[in-house]
Amino acid sequence: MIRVVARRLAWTALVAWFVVTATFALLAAIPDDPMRALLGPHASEQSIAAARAHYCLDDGVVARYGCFVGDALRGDLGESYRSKRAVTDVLADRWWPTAQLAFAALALQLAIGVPLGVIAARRRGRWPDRAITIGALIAASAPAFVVGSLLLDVVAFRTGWLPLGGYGDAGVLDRLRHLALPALTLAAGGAAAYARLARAEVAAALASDHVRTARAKGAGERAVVLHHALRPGAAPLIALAGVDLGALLGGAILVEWIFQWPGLGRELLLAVLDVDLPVIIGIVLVSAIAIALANLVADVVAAWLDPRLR
Amino acid sequence: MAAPRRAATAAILVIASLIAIAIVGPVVTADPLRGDLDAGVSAIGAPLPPSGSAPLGTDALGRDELARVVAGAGSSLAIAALATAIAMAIGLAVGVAAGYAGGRVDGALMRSVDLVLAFPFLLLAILLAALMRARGSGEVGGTAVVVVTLGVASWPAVARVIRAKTAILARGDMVTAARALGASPWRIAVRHLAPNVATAAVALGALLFAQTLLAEAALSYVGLGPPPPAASWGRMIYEARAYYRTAPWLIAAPGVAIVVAVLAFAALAHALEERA
Amino acid sequence: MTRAWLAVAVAGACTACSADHGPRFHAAGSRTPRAGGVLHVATEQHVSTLDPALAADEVSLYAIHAMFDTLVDYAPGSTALVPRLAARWDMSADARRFTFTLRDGVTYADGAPVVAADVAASLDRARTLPDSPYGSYLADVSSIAAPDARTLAIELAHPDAAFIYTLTMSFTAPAHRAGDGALAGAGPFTLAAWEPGVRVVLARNPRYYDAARVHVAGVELRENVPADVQFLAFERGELDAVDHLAAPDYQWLAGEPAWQPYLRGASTLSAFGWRMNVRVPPFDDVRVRRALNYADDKAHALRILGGTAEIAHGLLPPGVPGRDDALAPYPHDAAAARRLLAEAGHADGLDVELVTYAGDEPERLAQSLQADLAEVGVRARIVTMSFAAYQTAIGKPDGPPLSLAAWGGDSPDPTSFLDAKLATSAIGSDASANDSFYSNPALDDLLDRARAERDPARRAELYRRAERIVFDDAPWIFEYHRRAIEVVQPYLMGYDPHPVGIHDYASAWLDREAGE
Repeated sequence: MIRVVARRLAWTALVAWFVVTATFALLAAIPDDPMRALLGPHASEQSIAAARAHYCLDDGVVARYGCFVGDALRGDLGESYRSKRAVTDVLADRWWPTAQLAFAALALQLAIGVPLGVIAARRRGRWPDRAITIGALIAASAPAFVVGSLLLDVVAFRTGWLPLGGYGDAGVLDRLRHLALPALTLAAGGAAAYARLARAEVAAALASDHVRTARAKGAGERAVVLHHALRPGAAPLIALAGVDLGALLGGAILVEWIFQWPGLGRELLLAVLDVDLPVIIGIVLVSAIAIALANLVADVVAAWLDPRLR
Repeated sequence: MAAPRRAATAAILVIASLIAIAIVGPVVTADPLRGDLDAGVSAIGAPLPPSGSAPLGTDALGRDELARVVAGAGSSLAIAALATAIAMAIGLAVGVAAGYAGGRVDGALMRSVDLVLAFPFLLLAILLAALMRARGSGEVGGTAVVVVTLGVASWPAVARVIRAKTAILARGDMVTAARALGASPWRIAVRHLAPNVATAAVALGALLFAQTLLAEAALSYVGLGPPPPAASWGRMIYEARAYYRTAPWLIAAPGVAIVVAVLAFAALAHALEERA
Repeated sequence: MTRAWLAVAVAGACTACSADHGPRFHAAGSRTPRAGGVLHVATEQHVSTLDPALAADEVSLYAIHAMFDTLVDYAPGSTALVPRLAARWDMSADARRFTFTLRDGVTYADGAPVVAADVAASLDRARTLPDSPYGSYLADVSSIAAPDARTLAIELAHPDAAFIYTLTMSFTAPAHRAGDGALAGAGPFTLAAWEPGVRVVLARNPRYYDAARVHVAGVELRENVPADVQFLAFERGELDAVDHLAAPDYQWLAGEPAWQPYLRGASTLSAFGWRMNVRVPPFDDVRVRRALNYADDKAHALRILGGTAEIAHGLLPPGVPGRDDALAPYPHDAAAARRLLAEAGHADGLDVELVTYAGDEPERLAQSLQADLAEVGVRARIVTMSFAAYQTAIGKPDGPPLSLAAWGGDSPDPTSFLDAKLATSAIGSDASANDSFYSNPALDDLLDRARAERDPARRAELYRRAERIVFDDAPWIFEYHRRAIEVVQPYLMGYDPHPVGIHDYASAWLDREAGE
């Protein structure tokens, strides 16, 4: 187990190196002059030349890359062209909102998707199954920004029940009120995937020999579903949750944009539009590491739940 | 089971009519690119609501919304089809190669798939689109950027699924028997693996198609989709965002179109998976 | 259809059925400014820095302007200059020497005195910081001296009567490092909190020298709020004003009589159109440039902007001294355009690339011009770039020859438009401010003479002649000057759009009963 974890951690480091290098190469190919974007149309040619020199933009790509990796290994990811803040500070500010959003969405996905999947499996072929299957298809088919804009308009603007976006800093309750709509929007598509997977897993388990044995021994329906059907089905669900973090982080870009949630996704979009290279690379690095770690955790948890995987 | 078959039939009917609309529609409707800032908008430039001459109203440039939704069927479906084709081609090649070869080739290929998957899909798409967009592109070039972006960002998922399928088949009785009879690897791949992977691939392709439609809309929503004056559905929603309250028909028409199309392809994929 | 779209239908129906579209909040009816309350405003962009020497974007300057008083400033809602930290100032007869006398007893928020040397230090800082965009504004300054704590003397290498406007810009404001190491100014507000990308909170400066000028207790500027969400928040009363109304929201408000008293409009110091590189064929031929001006139907641009603009005959916006208001813009005349094109040897039409940047308006403007040009046989291909790429590309001599032009002047003075965009001296080799690469000795001569002219009437006459040259040579397809359109809550007073784009938060007051 420990050796597996160590190997996976080494792999994570390799992934981190790869995404940073790939992003660096991609961005080095952009012909935009970030200093022109930074200083604005009124800056003179001399000011721009001075700024380019200040940020080493006139050095060759290889020299800049070497310089960047060296700094990164010392924990220095450079500073944002726009705000002059250290990228590590920007990341420190932004990761927590995104983490809250991602975990809230994940929790919602499981809380909505798995029970619906179990219900569908137990009523296989009958109307609850059909309704859930069709509902899942629809939820997975509506673009996140359409769902988000609708929720914003109906639940926030017209009724005034929930705030029109923002982060909310007046205590836990206020935060939850601000978190509700973005998390729901982000969870809509994923919940459908969990419902379908849970339905398939539970249906397969319910038809298996050991469930029949358990039933024959007189186990209650509740115990059958919880212990004999859902528990073995949990491993694929958890594997999906691990893989899903990537999708959540990607989806968070749009959702954070719509709801002005001050996380990594919105920061990334702003940085991309302003060609703020250090911030872009920093965010890509953080999300790649987060995804690799999530996969690792998912594997460990799955192995713990299902001894066969050890 | 009857339900999946009926769902599949319905999905295929919807898809067929979308394709028919995309092909025949433009002949019937007005020119989707022709704006009319004189009579097609109000005196202060507001879009006009649905009327006899423009059944779905006009947009902010005075263009006929119905004509644009119809033209959008063509471009959105074409973008999704081309991007799906790119992703399927790369994904199938890598997936079959890895699954059939096994061993080190498999390991190396799948690790490279994992590396690409370390980028969240939308993040990669936004980076690629921004990169290629920065170079400045006309309408055709800009649309090609979107196609390539979506294709390149989605192949790894295909490769993973196809590899799993292939690996199971390659260790199966049929292939073992063929190999024992002295069939060449190429022949095995074409005669034995391809037909059996095909079912899974078609279901996967339909699902990917649905996802690509959504991704095109998402890229458009942040301004990185097909450039103007293209009438893709995603771009139309992007242009209509600001008119959400004053001209809701501008967002409802392409929005309904996207949901219907995505739903049809997703339902088809679902039905095919159930059968497989 | 699906549930989601049922909701759209319901939402649409409710938009139509809810009866009351007027303001939900009302003024209490006070005739004199009330003190207190927090002003809530928002921006679509973000505050990138609170350092006056580094802030290149307008939004950062919103906050900075409130925190850092300059020696002179514009009167609220006008382009007239008023003294702020300077009690008075004087320009020498040759327009080369400016002397300022500071007010007595002005301090920063922490009690430290404001001295003339602080202004000199701010100017030096802007000149030496590598990433300050303002160094070039001081390129002509030959010496800065602070002979005593209250006197500042600035000498220029060349005469420039318009230099006084530079002293309204925040980078010239006196500043000092407060206890926490952050830069602080002597403005009406001090920084209470800044969550970058989320909001800036300002609090009234208790030590401000002109306490009677400030009314609200604080300002909250929310960042990165999309225009449509701003409007929703405004309707719910979470915002007191919307600074940059999006065209659709303006179009909606324009049709609601109850809102008319609360709509505010003002010309901005801006010029929009399409710049041409006059050194590159076919734009090196003045007949082609004039033909494109005749081909462009400016009324179309106005409709795209929802009526929030004024048609342009040149670069100088309304209200700038020296603008020739009698000069009629190029009319929309397709026949004249075709005739000129034929004379220039393009009877069979012309293929051009139309470069714009990504965004609702710029893309729509390009599509509209494309259609107008098609009418006279000019086949335009639209090329859309990211904003950063566009900015990088247009200043290069081999960059796109025809592209969208969007220029905001720094000051209500012709130098900020004509010298900045069309003088030979503004031509560079890589990031040229004169991106038309237009060079005309006759214009240069007029501009130089006008800079040195102290008499406003004679100065205006020189600029009217300059305008005529620019009009005839048509280095741009002149289109429009933007109008700032804002909407305020009925209880928000003294909050008017300003030509230079920066609101004076100090003059705003909230006419609401306490506790409401």
